[in-house]
Amino acid sequence: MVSDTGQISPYLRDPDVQLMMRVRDGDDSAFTELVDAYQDRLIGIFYHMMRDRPLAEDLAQDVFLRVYRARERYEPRARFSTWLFRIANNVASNSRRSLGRKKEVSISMKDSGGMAIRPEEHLAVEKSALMPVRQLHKTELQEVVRTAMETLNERQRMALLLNKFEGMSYAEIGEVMELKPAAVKSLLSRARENLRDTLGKYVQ
Amino acid sequence: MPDPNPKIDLSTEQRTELVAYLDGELDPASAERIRKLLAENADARREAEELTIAWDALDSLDGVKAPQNFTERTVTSIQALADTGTHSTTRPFDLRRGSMLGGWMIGIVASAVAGYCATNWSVSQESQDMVRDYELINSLQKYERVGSVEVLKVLEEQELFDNVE
Repeated sequence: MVSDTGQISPYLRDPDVQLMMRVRDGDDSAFTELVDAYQDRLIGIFYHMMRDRPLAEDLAQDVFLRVYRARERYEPRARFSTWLFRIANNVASNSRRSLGRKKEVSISMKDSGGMAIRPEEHLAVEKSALMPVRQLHKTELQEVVRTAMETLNERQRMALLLNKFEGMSYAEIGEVMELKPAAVKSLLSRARENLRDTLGKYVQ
Repeated sequence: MPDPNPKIDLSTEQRTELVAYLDGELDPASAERIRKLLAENADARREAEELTIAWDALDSLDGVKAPQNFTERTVTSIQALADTGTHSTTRPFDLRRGSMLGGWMIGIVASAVAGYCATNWSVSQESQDMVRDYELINSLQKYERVGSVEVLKVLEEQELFDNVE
């Protein structure tokens, strides 16, 4: 792949970029390989974002559909995973907005009822039950960690997941989330502080 | 009761740098500054330790596995959408919504057709009844003025109107 300046794209060394180039050239078996390679990672990210397994699978399919639709005009301007997770980030944001609108309607319809428990309050209820026990079973710890994740805002959670489970650097997270590295640094710092504040009592 | 996790007196910048240090994202000079801070400040060391423990707790989250047929299902549905030329606007999870919508549409159309037929049959029956009784309806005012059929019978017997055409 030769760019406008006559230079060969450095991303062509990425094996997944090479697969995507084959998809662009009409090789559907290469597309199957990419779906197979990334499905668990995408579903995992969406599941930890949304806490809804069927929705996570639907969103992962949506990402693959967008990749397939974009195949003819694909240009390797980043590592394949960076490009894929940028699409995933957009899909997650759209889904969040859509779910938020539905939730607004739902809340306004049952406004006369009691207020829903916020994640922090839910955690506080759990805290009181678990306070004497510092050594948690794995399932309990998982639930506490999941609930602590819910206290993070959407951007903090996405940055944290990309950093932790995709091993992305601040620069790569910046590319995925369209943020400057300094903004990623600040976002991750706040996310880690929040996580420490909510998890601190359990994991010492 | 004292707070088991009192806030440590580090500046926001120091906290941000500390997290970046733990992630290996600092340039050598900044990393050296944080190493010095950690060597001199017990609170900073404690904060770094707590941040690391909370970070490691994320490892407890299980990895998520796609269902066994996910690849096949995804590739087949995406290629089918592409083949039918609808891929530019339809998303996989819209298919489920689309089929539900289709079911509702068929139901609504069937109800509308049934309603139309029922109304049409009822109105047509009513019209036929009116045609059959047209003579009666047309002369209804006269019959009402007469008041009773008995009077007509008496008049007929007296042959008073035989010559009237």
